[in-house]
Amino acid sequence: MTSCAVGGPDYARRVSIASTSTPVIRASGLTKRYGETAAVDGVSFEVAAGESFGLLGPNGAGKSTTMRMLGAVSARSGGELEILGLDPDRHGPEIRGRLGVVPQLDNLDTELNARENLIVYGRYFGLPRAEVARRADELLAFAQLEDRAKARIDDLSGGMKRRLTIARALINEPRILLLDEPTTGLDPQARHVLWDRLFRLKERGTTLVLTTHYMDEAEQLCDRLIVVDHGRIMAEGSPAALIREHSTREVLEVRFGSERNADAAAAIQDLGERVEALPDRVLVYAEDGETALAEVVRRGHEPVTSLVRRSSLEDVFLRLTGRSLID
Amino acid sequence: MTDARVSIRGIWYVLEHQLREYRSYGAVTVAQAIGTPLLSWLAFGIGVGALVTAGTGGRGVDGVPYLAFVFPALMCSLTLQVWSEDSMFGTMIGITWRRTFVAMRSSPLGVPQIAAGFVASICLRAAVTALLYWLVALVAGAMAGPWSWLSVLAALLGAAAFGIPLAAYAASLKSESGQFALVGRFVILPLTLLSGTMFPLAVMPIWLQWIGWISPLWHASQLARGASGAAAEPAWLVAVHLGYLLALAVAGWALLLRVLHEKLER
Repeated sequence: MTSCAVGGPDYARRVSIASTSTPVIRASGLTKRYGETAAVDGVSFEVAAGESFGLLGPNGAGKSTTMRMLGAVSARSGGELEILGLDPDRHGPEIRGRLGVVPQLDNLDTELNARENLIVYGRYFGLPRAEVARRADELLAFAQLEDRAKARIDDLSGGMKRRLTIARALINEPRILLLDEPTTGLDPQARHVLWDRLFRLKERGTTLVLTTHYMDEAEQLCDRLIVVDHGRIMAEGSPAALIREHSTREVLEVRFGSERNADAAAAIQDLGERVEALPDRVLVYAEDGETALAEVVRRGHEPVTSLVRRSSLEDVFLRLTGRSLID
Repeated sequence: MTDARVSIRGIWYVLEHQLREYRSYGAVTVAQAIGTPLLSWLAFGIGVGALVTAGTGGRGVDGVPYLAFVFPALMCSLTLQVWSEDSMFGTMIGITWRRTFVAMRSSPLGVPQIAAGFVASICLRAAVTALLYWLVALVAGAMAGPWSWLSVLAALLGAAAFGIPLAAYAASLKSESGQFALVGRFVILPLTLLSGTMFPLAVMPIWLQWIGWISPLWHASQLARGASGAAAEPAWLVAVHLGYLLALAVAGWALLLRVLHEKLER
């Protein structure tokens, strides 16, 4: 099914999903080159109808380039790609007519008000004026922006603009919604409001494909995701399965001071399945973080601060690439 | 769903969007289109015109009153300026500043539809400018004859011949850091001054006349003068004017499509 082998019970569940419902996206060896550089380097994945699928990776990993190919605006350099059973190279307009796209950078028209932005966009899809006006009002309500219908775009907050962009992407009642870094730059409250809207779409059966470099967002929103770096898939699975497969249940974070972290890490190397010495802290991957912490103290290494937490996708990424998600 | 409808009407949808934007500065367009010829009427009819009339012993320029000589060319010049501004800033708005073209490209619209709708919207605004200018010229008595309305088309063709390639240039820029001001000062202004706009090209030394020959403004101005009876161009020269302007517009269109494909379909 995919280019990367991922085992475990969750894998069986995914195979089951893919085999019982026709994939709405099917990529095989998908490649995008700019000159000698491969921005996307032979990625393969499938997305089932109604699924919420994520591409997790740092900036420059090839997520946005992949999204442009999925959005049928950027021709692939190699491999195969099918969106809703159609080849984007030959059926671009038909495919785009059934997609909703939320770009990484807002491209709302600041010369028009919020409602007008929905209307002009809806017209691009050939919708009659009366129909597009009806949908615009519905979507403003969905985006919790009814009272801002006539507001200038510059007067909306960052979160409101994103919600309006999502509302705009829904004007053609898309089969698939592509969201490129949907919450980047938003404050925590605005992110939660946006996630709530996306949950509702998911409940309605809209297929969501999103890129993010926030692991909490991936954990919140994605049924399944691929971890990408340097244009390649490093791992694939549900957030829980990825954590289970590539990390321990708990992580002990201890800080000894930037001068002492490396030495301390060497001295406690045996306390976990893996120990990572980062510039500002030492991570001990252990099934029982509290026990590991007690042993650190017992050995006479007094940490300045300590924290026991559950493993996250950040740990998975660190394990797979040796780098942090957010540089 | 509505794919066939989009492919046929896509250009109109883009134009519809641009027209909504124009609403916010429609008054400026009209004020400019009426105010500029009124000022020109004062300046060239009463001011410079009186001087020229006195200097030529009442013969005017090329056998017509100075106002009749200069107005068709000034109309072409203003139309070209309006088209150029919209070409440069509109393209940068679409690709980089407000990214409206990028949003359009996410829909079923293709690059040719986006480009055609955009150029059509500029053409419409330029046409309003040229038409109002022509009406003022009629009132001023600077244009006459049953075919003088063709001067509006000449002005639009000249503006398109310069403005469409200019849009392709603007589309090729990564960012605007003063290039548009340079185009205004070192391309559009010299074209206006040295394209036989305010005096016949023939009075310039031969080593400067080539600027007029390659200038879309000179070709458009001569066509407009011909239409309004201010110049009697032989048929072959009219064909040269038309052919040259059409060739520039078509080449600019091809270039614009190519650059937009590169920018919007990376």
